[in-house]
Amino acid sequence: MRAESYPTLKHPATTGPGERGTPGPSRATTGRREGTVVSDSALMLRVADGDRAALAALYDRHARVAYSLATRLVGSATAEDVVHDAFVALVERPGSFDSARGEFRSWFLTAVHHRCINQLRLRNRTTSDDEALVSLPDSAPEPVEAVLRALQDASVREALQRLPQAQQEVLVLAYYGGMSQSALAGRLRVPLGTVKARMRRGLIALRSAFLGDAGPAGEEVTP
Amino acid sequence: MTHEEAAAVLPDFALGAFDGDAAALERHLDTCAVCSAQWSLYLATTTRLAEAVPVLDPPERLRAAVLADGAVLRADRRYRQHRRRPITGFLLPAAAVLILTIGLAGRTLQQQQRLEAAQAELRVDGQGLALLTSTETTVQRLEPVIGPLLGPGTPAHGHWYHRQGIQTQVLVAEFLPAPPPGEAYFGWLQRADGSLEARGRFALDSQGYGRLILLGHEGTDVTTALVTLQATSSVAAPGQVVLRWPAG
Repeated sequence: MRAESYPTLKHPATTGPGERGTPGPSRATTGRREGTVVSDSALMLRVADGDRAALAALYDRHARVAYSLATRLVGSATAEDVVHDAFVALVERPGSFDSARGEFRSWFLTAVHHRCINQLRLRNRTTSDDEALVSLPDSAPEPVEAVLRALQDASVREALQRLPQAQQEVLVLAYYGGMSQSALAGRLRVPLGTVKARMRRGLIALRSAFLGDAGPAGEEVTP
Repeated sequence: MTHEEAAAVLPDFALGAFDGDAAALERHLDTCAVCSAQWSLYLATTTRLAEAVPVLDPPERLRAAVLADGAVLRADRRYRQHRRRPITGFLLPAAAVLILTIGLAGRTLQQQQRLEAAQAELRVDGQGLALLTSTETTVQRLEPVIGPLLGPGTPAHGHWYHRQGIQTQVLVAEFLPAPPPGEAYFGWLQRADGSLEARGRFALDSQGYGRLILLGHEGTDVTTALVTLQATSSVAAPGQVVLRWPAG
C-alpha cells in the first residue's frame, strides 16, 4: 500500500547523542522578553495557548532551514506553501508535538520533509496520469554528485562522500530527491530488499560519522 | 504492524522513502519504546541532512502569512472555546441558579436577563466564528502608525475581516502595549459617505490581543479602518491613531 500522507508524524523518544541543538541566534530569540531564553518546547506550549508571539519566535528560529530544505526538494514556489502549512499546522494541532519525546527542530524538519515528499509524489502521480507527459526530464532527480556539491555543510557532504557509492546513492536520491524505496528499486534495477538494506546501512554509517566515530560502512547485502 | 516489520522500515520512513502503511508504523511508534528510541537516532541524522542544504531566506510575505493565518486559527480556537465555555462555565451554573430560583422563589427578572445576555453573546460569537472561518472572507491588514506609542519595528498590527453578504465584521488588534490608565483602544470604521464611527472598545489580553465583533453591516463601503488610543471618557472623535488600513 502506498502512503499518501504522514498525518501525525511521530517524534523521537530520546534526543540522539550527537544531535545538534538549535543553532545560532535562535536560542536567544525568545518572543517578548529580552534576555530570557525560552526552549522550543516551551514555545510550543505557548502556541497551544494561542500565543502568537511564540509562533513568531518558532518561525524565526526554524523557517530558514525549513524553507531551504523545502526549496531544495520542491522548488521555491511550492516550498512557500509547504512551510506555511507546516507552521500553521502547529496552531491547528499543537498536540501533535510532544516535548517529552524529543527535539522540536528534528520533529518539525521531518514534518516539512514529509510534506515535500507528499508534494513530489502528488506531482509524479499527476504526471503519470497524463499519457502525453510520460517522461518529463524536469521531474528526474538531480544527479547525486550535483546534489553533494551543492551541500553547504562540508561535514555532511564529506560523510556522504565516504559512504559506499550504492549507499550514498540511495540516501541522496531518497532524502534530497524524494524518491520512494520502490521507485529507487526501479531506477537502480535492484530488489526492494537491497534498497532497504542500503538505506539502513547508509543511515547507520552516517550517524556514526556524525558522532565522530565513523567506521566501515559494511558490505552490501542483497536479501 | 509487528515490531520486526516496523524496525525494518524505520530508516526508509526517516528518509521519506517509505511507501507502505505510514499510519500503522506511527501507531507502532506510539507503543514501542525500542522503535521510538531508534527513530530518534535516525531523526537526529536526517536533521543534519536537512541543515546541510544551502541556506535561503524565505520571503517576508511568508512570515506575514504564517502569523496572519495562525492568528485566524487561534481566533477560531478561542471562539470555539468561548462557545463551549457557557455550557460548562456559565450556562450550566446559570441554569442551576435558575432551577433553584424557580424552586425557591420563582424566576427573577435579573436571572432571565443574564440568560438572555449569555444567549446573545453566543450568537455574536457564532457570527464572528462563521466570518473568520469562511474561505471567502476578505482580510485587510491594519499597519502600525509609527509615533510616540509605537516605534519602528513594532510587531503591533491588526486585521479587519469582512465578507460581502455577511452582516458581521471583525476587527483584531495584536501586540498593542497596555493602554495608560484612563485610556483604551477603540476600533473605528469610516464609510464611503465620509461618516466615521467608533465601533467598540478593545479588551486586550496579556499579549496585547483584542477583537471586536461588529454586527449589522457587511462593511463593503468601508474605506478606512482605524484603531485609536484615547480617553475612555471621550469617544466623540478618534484619538491617537495607532493602527490603520489602508496604510497612510
